[in-house]
Amino acid sequence: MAPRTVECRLCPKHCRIGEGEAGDCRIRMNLGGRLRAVTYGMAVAAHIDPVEKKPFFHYHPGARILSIATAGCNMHCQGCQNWQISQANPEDLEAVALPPEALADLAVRERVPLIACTYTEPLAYYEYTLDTARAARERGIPTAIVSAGYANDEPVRALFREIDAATIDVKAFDDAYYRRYCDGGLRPVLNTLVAAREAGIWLEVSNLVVPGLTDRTDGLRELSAWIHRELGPDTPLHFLRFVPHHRMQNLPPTPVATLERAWEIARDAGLRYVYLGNVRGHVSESTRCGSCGEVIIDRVGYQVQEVRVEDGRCPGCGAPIPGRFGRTR
Amino acid sequence: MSGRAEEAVRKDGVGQVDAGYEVGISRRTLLGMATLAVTGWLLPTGAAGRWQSVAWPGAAGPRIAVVPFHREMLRAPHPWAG
Repeated sequence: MAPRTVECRLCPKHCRIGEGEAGDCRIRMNLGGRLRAVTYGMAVAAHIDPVEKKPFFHYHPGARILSIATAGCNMHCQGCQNWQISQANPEDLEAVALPPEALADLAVRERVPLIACTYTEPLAYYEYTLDTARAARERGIPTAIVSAGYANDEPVRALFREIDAATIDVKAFDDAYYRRYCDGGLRPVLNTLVAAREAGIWLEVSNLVVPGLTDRTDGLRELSAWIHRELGPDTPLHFLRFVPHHRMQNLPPTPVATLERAWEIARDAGLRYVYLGNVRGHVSESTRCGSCGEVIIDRVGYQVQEVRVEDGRCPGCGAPIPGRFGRTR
Repeated sequence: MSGRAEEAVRKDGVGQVDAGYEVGISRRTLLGMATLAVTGWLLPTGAAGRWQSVAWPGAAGPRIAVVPFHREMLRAPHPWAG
């Protein structure tokens, strides 16, 4: 029988994969003429993190979240912070077998109220993410993803029916940047953001500010204006400080003044909840009421000192605070 | 010609001499290797870790090294962002 080529339609790359070969993500392989997700249930990372680390700042603040990842990613960002696992072949890393049911049971056993598919690309290890969300939901545990959002509309919308929250990382509001430095594209990511908003899941947006590449005022202004217009002014936006990693070791860390300028641009665009990440101790780590400005969630680093939100409202002015603040379990 | 080579010639009628660059494996080493292989095979997966096919049992293709899960790894310091 002649070797059969298969096409993967999970992400916009539409890899045509020959017998015994893998797609661009290294996760999806043609084995015996069938497309197989070879990292299914094979976690290369499994840790209990604070939910703030994802980052989620309006989603059960202070809660712990069982976070997992498999090897591989369908993008190849030159500044990837987790490149050792995202840009590796699955067979080159050690993994622990944590099938979806076992993972959900583990969360129950460890009394962790949330699960996150994160670190690499949960949309690339799609089937594992989807089945984990279903298994966790059966046990009353919400699942969140931390993703670059680069996938096709149909699988994204199907996944959003099963999960509870997402932080989507927009690399830059610039398609040329995506193509040159990330091996991706902007439009599918924006589609994913809109799909998340329409699905009604909790959504936060992050953006890595790389000095000299993604720190231009017009780009930050366009990103902020688009979020305001398409996702709403209450969408939390995290500007993350770049630290040299992987193939961007020639660039310096982002100056804090650059991040503060980004913060001002986003606030001027009308976004009410803007944060700076990877700048420990910065005043922007805490959440202030979008109406009266009172501190309602006090943070130092990833540690939540106090949550003053009462029934989803500011205790000072009574304004509703966007997010999910109820008990998880 | 060395004495040993002369002896080989006398015995077989053909000139023979030990070649270089050969690694000898003693019977004891072979026995040890076999013991390790059998022991590794008999140990439960949870104790030793195994290479697991990513497709289906017995299939060709890549194999992933599966290591045992420990509760401690959930709280161990780790470098991954996000």
